[in-house]
Amino acid sequence: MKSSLLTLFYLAKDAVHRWKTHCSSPLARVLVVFFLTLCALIVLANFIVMTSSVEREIARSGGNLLVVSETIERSRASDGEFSPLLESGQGFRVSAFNEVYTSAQSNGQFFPIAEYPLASAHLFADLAGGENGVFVLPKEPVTGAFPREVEIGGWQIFGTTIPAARAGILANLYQSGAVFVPEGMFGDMKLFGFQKKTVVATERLDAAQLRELEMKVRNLLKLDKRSAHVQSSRAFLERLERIRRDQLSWRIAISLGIAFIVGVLLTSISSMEFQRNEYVYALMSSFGVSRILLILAFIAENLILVFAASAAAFAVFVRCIPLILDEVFKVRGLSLDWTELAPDLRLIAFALCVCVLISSIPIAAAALRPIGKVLK
Amino acid sequence: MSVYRCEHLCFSYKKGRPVLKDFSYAFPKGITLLRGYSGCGKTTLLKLLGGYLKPDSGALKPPVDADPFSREFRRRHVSYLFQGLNLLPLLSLEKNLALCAEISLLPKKIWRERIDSLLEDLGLAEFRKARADTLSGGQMQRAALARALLKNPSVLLLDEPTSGLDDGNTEIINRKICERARDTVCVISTHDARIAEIADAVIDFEQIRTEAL
Repeated sequence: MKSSLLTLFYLAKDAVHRWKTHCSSPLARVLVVFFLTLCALIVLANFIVMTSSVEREIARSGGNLLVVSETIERSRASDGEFSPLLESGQGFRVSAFNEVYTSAQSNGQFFPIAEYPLASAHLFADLAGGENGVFVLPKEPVTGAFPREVEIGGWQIFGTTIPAARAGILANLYQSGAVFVPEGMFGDMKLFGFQKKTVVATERLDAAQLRELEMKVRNLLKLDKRSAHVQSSRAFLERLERIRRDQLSWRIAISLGIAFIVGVLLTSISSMEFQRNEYVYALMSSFGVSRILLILAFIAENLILVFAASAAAFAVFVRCIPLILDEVFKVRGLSLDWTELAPDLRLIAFALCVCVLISSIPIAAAALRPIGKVLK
Repeated sequence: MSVYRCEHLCFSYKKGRPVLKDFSYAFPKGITLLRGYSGCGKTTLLKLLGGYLKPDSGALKPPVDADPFSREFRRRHVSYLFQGLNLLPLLSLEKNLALCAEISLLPKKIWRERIDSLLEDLGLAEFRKARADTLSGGQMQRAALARALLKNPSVLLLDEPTSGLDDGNTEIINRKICERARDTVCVISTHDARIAEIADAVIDFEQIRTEAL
């Protein structure tokens, strides 16, 4: 054990001496790995940020929503209940609104009126005030929940404004504002028919989940023999998924391409260092040092250089990413999702390890040459 | 067993140009001197005996129960003084010896005493902390001999141990070899007539080889 440590200590000393006397060799290894890793990280970050930005846009415009709109005519006004089979489940939540054919007025502006059943009360649960259950989503975004006078069917009442930050899916559904009233508050409003909107909101932007939900809803409508308009961003999400799949291939190709270049560089440097190492390795072997230990020492040397360079590139990348996003990609206000970058980082690290192993082949060949052919 | 047997050894660096062909010899315990012109294969034979080269055919039977091509044989049973000396240039003289001793798995107490006595006897005590690449040719040669004698091997192979040395240095080296090599199979390849006086047997390697060829 001690002899192995002493041998490793000598080999480390020899490596440092080689680095000092032939500094171009470690410098080439460090600089090439550093810049290639940095470039790879920037390109990969670009992919991720662009996708996230599109995803955010889709989410902002209600990409996680499936809206079923059904016109309930005057004659059927009393049987407006949608199939009870469609209930909130794992990963999605169902809300419903009845849009009546009359409007509310507030501050000289007209708003559609949407009646919400008890099951949809969760949408307003965390809003302060609103003792009568009336809420106003103004046309212009507001920051606080405060009382606002509204006129509905000749009645003057106070509703609570919904701040933009808490509007959630309501803002997606009613981009020109709306007044929400609890179901049954104005019983006679539905007598002339209404538009029933059932909204299914998924927790994530997931094309597969949305597709499945859409199919389920269409089947339910068919079973209930009801005609309704089903609307969702499924097509956009599917396109986004396709883009993601294409990007994945490119991301893998970039990581492997960089690893290939690093591999070629390290192998050629190892081949050049072949003779210098060959002498020390043969001498150590002549004393009885294990050749595997010698090869492992070389692998460790390369791993240290390669990972120091990669770590430095990563540190620079982390420090500069806000600047890169703002100035290079012109996407202000976006941040990089590190969990999305993690698989790429793992792939780059793995590929670099493989490169280091491949580059040790010339050294392995040196260590395996007969001692008598090397030492004079 | 105190004899190192070579049986029908054949060896060539290049195909069709044999350096050794059907070479058989039993090297007894004591100092055997190999003489012959440059390039006749003396060093090659020493490297074969040390397990540093593999013969194309034939067998090597060392005086110890070990495979001559194994790490264990190199580690414990053989010491080799190369013509090129091959000291580790970045280490001090003392550390060169210590590393070799540690690799040979000698107990620390023993190798410490041996290093002290070898450096004293070979006139290197004052250079023990000096880096190997700062020593003179004669000092390096004595240092390489000290390293070879450090582990009391069963097989001691010395390639031109006194070449280029003055009489004083040669005498020191001769004395040390005599002291340490009597109980081992010691084979010395040399052109130096000054070393002949300590040999138990002298082989005209050129003649043996020519007969075999």
